[in-house]
Amino acid sequence: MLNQIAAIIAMNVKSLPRRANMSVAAVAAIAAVVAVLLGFLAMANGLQQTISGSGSDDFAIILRANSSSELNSTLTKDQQDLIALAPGFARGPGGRPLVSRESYVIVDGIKKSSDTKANIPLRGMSPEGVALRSGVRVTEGRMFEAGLNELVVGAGVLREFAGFEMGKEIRFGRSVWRVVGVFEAPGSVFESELWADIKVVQGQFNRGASVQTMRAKLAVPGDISTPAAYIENEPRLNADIKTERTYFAGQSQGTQQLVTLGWALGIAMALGSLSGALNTMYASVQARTRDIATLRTLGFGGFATFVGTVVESLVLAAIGGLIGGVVAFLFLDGITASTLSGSFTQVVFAFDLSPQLLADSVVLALVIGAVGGIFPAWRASRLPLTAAFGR
Amino acid sequence: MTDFSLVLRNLTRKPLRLGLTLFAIFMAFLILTVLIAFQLGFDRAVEATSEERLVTISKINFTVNLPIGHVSKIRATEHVEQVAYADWFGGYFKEPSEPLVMFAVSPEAYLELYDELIMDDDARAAFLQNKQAMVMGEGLMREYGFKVGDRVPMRSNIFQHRDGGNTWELDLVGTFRADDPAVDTRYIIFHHDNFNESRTFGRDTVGWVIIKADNPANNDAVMAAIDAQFANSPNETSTSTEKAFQRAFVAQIGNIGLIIMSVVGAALFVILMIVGNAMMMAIRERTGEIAVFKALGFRSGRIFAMVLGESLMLSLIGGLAGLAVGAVLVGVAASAIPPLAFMVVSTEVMVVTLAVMLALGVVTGFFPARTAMNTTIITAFQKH
Repeated sequence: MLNQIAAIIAMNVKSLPRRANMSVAAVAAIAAVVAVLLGFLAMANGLQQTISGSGSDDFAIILRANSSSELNSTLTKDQQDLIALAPGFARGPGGRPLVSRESYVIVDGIKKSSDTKANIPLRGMSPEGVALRSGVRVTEGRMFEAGLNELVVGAGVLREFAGFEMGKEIRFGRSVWRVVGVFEAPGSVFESELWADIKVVQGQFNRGASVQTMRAKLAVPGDISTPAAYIENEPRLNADIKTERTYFAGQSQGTQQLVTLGWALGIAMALGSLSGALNTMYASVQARTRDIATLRTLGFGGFATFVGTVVESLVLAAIGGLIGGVVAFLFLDGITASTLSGSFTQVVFAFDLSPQLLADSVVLALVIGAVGGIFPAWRASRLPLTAAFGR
Repeated sequence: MTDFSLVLRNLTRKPLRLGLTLFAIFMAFLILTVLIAFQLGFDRAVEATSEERLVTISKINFTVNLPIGHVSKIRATEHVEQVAYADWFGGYFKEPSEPLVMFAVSPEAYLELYDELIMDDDARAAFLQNKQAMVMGEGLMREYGFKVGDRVPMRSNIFQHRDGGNTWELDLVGTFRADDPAVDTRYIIFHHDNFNESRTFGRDTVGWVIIKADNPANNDAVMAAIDAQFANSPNETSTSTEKAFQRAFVAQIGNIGLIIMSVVGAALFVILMIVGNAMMMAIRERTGEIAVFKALGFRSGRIFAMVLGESLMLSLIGGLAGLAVGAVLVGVAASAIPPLAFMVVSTEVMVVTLAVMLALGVVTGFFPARTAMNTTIITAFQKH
């Protein structure tokens, strides 16, 4: 029987080009479904990777209690000094705790893609701040110098926004800043930021001595229990401490909606294209009525005919799925975009088409192919032998 | 037998294929209706903001506050008729993950400028005279199950109350609504005075200033005059129309229109392939019959029209069903999910979908119809 199945599969698949006209519709429909699904999933995946993927267990972030994002948090000078004294933070040379005081100001930039104003975060940080982030690398120029109106620009900002090139002078309100460096922090939100010295930012934006957040290196990676207990027991503090990983994970909830929307649309469209696959396969069975009946007369079994037709449908679906995947990969993978994140600022991200997503969408295509093949195959396997001689 | 019943017979001769094709059309128009309702509703919500009102924000960014002293200076600017100001409270009720749009405003001037908000005289009077009062959109009140007369603890994710904590106890004294569903009323306003004196930081600042000129024709002059006035001061400003401000904000989210149109395009492409293919198959199978019609003296034009009629009917039946179910879905979504309340299947949506149906019918029917029309009696019988 295996021989029979193999023979029929080979025959069906080899004769596909002869029925190209009617197969093209099913293939194209499935390709379009896969491309749309992949578009949404790649967008959600890229955004998710950027917002939450970069979190590390080595560092902790301290915000005012109940602040949903950095923008909403404030820590006064007294609170900062108390937090800096907390036990459980790693210490640098001279025994000073490795902490950075950071302020977060939103400034306007001009988006290259739409030529409109958009929010960019300007982060003031202590000199220690750079070392308190993993994977940051200055690719051009140098870091800002304390006390000067100097900016270093994230590679994402440079890509998506106009006017932040090396050496440029930039005005925010009355203050003038000079771009002295460009940094990369692959795949993280930091690439969407501008960095400057904390003291200068506080001065230029009338922030006094208050900051939004503090950042520290943990003595034991992932363990915030010691500083958390200290903060809890200090009545003058009203703050939350989280590892960087936990904090970032909490910021990316919105991306789940994109995934849901992508699947909802993908499945709705898949149902529509399923009709197309069924039409094509019924027509294919009908066009081969005489061939099938002849084979059956020659002694080929109904089951072999059934499998042959299902495989034909699966091959069509796989071709459609691959075309959709290749189109999505060529046109969507790696393109960068930016959108408004939870903290009201632009986050620059790249569409990311992972092998897992490709596999998921090919599975969807094959499901369409399988369902689209089963019913026509059933009909094929039940064709009466006399059909070979009719017409 | 009329041509119409002939078309109907042709259409229904293969019930299975008809059903499958109709289902594909149905799904596509379902997607189309929902997405177009979203897109047009979204656009309308932006367009419903005013071209007449002007908004002054900090030149640095709209999240940076301005000193309250700017308000009186703006009021003194030539051609300025009315000035209100507002500040972002960062409000929520119980759940920090469910933020509420909540503005601390100069109450009297704000209500004067936002005259599209409809309020009872009683509610208005109660709101203006009670410094602890707030009013909110009718829908929002229903959504949260508040009642007029409630004292509600509203919390801020930004500000601290001078009495400790982040809670402001506010009296809900009334609601407002708008005649135009595109006007967003899903927000809360309360007294800036109350807010300003009880917050621990950010005192004597405002988030943005709202301005009405004596005549819209003077808008450009007013915008220029305000920004010139604060140029080179520590708090430079940027003034635009409310609509321009809203458009810029929406643009920050990304190109939503492009994403929606890509999906709609892909969905249409799918049915175009499927329906076109089904029509082609139907006509190819009928080559012999068409030749018979011709032999009977049917004119080419009539045959062309009959095939085109078939594809149009196919597209309309499936499409109208999709539109109907889509309209129901949109209605359910708009009432069940408050942030989607702007979605509505308006006449505009129907016209657009109907136009797409007709276009689909013509495009998928044209080539098969031409094939049928050009069929010669001889070749048809030869093939047979």
